[in-house]
Amino acid sequence: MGRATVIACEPSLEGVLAGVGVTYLAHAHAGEVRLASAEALQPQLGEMVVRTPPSTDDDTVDFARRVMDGFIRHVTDGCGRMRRGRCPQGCSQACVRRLVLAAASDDPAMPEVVHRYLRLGFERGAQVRSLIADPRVVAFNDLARRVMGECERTRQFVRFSHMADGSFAASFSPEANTVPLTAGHFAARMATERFCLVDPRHRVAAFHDPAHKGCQVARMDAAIAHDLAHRSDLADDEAYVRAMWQRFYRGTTVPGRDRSQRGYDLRTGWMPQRLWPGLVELGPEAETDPPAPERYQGAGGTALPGCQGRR
Amino acid sequence: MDTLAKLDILAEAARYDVACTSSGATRPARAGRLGNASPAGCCHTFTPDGRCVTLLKVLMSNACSYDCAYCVNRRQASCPRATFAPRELAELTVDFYKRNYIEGLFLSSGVLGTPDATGERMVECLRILRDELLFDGYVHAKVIPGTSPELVDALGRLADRLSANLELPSASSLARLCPEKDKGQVMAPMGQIRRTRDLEERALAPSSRSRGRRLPSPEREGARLLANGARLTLRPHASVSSRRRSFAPAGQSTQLIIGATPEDDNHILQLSKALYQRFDLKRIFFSAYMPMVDDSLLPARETPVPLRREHRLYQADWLMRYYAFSPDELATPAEPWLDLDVDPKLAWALRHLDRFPLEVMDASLEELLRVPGIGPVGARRIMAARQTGSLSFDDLSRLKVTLRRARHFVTVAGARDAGCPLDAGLIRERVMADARRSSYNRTRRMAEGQLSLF
Repeated sequence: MGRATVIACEPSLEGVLAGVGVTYLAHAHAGEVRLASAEALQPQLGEMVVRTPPSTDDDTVDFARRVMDGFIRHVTDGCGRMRRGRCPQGCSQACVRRLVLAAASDDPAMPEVVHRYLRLGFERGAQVRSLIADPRVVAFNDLARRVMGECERTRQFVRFSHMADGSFAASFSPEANTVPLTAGHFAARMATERFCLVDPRHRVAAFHDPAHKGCQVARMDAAIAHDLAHRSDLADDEAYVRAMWQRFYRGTTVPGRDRSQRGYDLRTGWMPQRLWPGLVELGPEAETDPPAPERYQGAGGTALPGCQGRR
Repeated sequence: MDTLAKLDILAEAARYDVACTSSGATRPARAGRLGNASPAGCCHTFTPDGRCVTLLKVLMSNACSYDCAYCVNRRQASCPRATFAPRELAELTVDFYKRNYIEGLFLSSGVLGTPDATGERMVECLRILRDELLFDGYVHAKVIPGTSPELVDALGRLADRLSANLELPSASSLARLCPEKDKGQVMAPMGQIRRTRDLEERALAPSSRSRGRRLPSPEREGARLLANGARLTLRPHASVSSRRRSFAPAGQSTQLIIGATPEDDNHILQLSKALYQRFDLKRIFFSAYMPMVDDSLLPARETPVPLRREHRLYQADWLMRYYAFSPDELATPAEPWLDLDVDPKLAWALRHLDRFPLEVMDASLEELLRVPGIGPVGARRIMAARQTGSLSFDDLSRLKVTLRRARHFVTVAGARDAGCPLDAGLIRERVMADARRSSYNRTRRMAEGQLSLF
């Protein structure tokens, strides 16, 4: 290339891998090329911009896969732990997992951080796994850890609602593209239920049907994502169950141990305030108690809708 | 009374039971069944005081026939009473679970008539949950002292974790405050749970080769993105996975109330160690006593809740389980109380300044774990990082070691931190001043009305 270049890529795993592949194909010197998200691109003075094709393009996906395969080969080659061509401790899987996590980050620096880590892997091979104090690895691991934290918050704070058609629906707006990474968790947990989990921020949704083991994850346009996130056709029992959850939450609180007693706010530390609007337990309580469904009227209960149990 | 009204009473009645974890059990999803269980558990919300809510923690009933002096549900207390029907509670659990509010059920109860009558009701609730509603989520069941062995066994087959609360740290305190309970009644189910788990373990892992999983290498663990706490403990690992067990796969725990009776910290830590060893407990929970009732046998109502003591005891308990500290290293018979201003590990290090500074480039895992500011994750990261070259204080900072505390106690490749005094007395003075200035210590000192001399 010969002059400072920025590769504008889609901020996704495929997009970044393809962008890194382009830098190698062009024999770009590591010091002269950087990756940036095409959505937040700000070229520096005199910098040449090269745009990679979108990751909806099959060729881009194939190219990204070649880069990923090459990376895995490099980080496993010469590894002392290899036995008969296989790593008994799954180091390459761990590297791939890290890449997937880091690439799901919303951080504008993500493409460049992943780019530097991939280059390090290509240069140093298996050694990259133990270079954990190297600033490039630290930055990369920080990204992956932050996404992992956001995945955990997704598993924790998604709140499903029972819909009139018997299915469950939830809307959640994480600070990383976590729905594809956590869809399997919800599919395992709610194997018997039909549900939809939508992330309007990243315009992606996971759909689950009890007939299938996993989830279907789909990207969508903003209008569909908005509609899915704002469904109002709730089941009759939803208001009552929400009221019970609010009452339970209020009842669990022990007086005399809050922020004023500790000197710091432990709850906000664990449960970021940006997520509070979606949490049923922190929402306003209804002025009057909603009508109780038959099973909660105090007689000991009747069949739950959708329950497949023996009775 | 509808379920909402009952929940109002029975959630509040259960809130002083502090155990609320959904960890320790592995149950993969199975076709046609709802839910699963994962070893780490999941916290679904946090109360205003920061406690995790992972399970629907309620009492089956608060109509208790016992009269324990410290308990808000005791027979003589004038509070509204309610009782869940077994099916009602099972269905409530499923409803909350499907909305991702909880990981499962924490089932406890006041003594509804007799321990066995209560136990039968609890078993019926769990049977409906498991067999009729096909629920595979997490269940923690409390064993009422005096419950017959058959019912304890039935509970253990349906629940993931069992717990029998010791509540008070000595037999004399138990006799004084809980006239209907005795030490033997509480210990009997704990012993039964231990024996049944041991029998199952022997049946599942008959060969000596499979006993005691090997600890993973610290270097390998240090390079991991996420550290699994259970893998980092210095305690021997279980030889049989919870997945293969059918009786209380997540083991058992207990709870001790702190501050209602005069036992000191050394006594409590010695008792904790003995309980861990004798009953193979997974956890001991400490609950700071909150004066709610007027009773001449208990601290007066205006007595501050000993939150800092509870916090320090948890830290000490953690050090015993994860860092191989012994109780006498943390609180001795001569100095039986933990320092409230300084965490127990820092207090230990200040008492043993002759063992420091430690050179991080060649210290063993056990030695690194004794340095304040270096935990199981940091120690393993250091061991992984030093394989590829010499480290610096900047590297330790990048590895997320808490240098604010650790820098006084280590050298890195022969160098000390530039801002760290060389004199042991100055180190002690500076570290103590830092600790006392913390927001937590200042707030608690004011709340507890302690006179600060510093």
